[in-house]
Amino acid sequence: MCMNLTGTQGNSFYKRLVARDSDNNIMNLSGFTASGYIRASYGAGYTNDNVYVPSSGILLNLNPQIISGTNGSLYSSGYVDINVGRTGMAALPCSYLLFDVQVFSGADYARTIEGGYFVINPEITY
Amino acid sequence: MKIVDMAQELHFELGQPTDLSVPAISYWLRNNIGILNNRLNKDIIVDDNTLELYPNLGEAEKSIYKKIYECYFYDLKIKQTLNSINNDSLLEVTDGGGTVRRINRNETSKVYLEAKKQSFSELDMMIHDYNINDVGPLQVAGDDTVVGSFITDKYFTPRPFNRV
Repeated sequence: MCMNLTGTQGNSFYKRLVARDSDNNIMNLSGFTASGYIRASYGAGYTNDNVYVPSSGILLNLNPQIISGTNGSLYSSGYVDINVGRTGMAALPCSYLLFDVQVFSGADYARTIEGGYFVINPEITY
Repeated sequence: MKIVDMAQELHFELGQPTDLSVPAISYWLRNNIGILNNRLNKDIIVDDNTLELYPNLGEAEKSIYKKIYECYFYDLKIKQTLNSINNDSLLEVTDGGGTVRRINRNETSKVYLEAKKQSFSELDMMIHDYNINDVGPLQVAGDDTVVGSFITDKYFTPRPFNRV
């Protein structure tokens, strides 16, 4: 569950993740939703007074898509795709940023399927 | 100057080490501005929106911040060497008339320590020079031009004294 991703400013980025449960079995993601963000730090969503502001500090919404579907060859594959366009990547600063991707089901189930550093290399051709 | 440009300069000036990247240096520079603030008595922050330094560093401040990173770089090398001593204490193997001698990591760490001391000494000198060049009067407003009054005696003629 600790994976570092590497991208370049201004280049589109694609990565397919595989969701696994605590026993390392591939998860059937039917009925799940996915969410994932990039932030500069774990505390980036908090104000100086330590108040959590959900929408603040988000550098990029990874907008992960569950690919598993409900039938066909990808059914219960656990695939979650991250697909970021060049505009979104261009807005990121060159640094070691933090990301994670979570899947949600029902009212109270969430699992982080991947997370770690998102290394952003600089670009010259804007 | 953007942080990434400072990071690129540092990467080049440190000899383009393969185990160090521009994003890693940028990350450090973005998260350790407090060291520069403490040393120079400044109030530079990282802007939450742009993630760049505000106000921007001048050339003098930049050179000092880069020297601070250089100290950190050698400090990191020392730590890495010490960690490797823990994991690999083998120094020399002799078998069947053949000998393999490995790098003495203890000596390596001493070289890095000397390099760090050298950088630290240069950093102190740079900060000293910076403070001399950057010094200015704390206050220019006031009433210093009022004519002073002095106790007089028989040997000295009383005379007004204007301090300007």
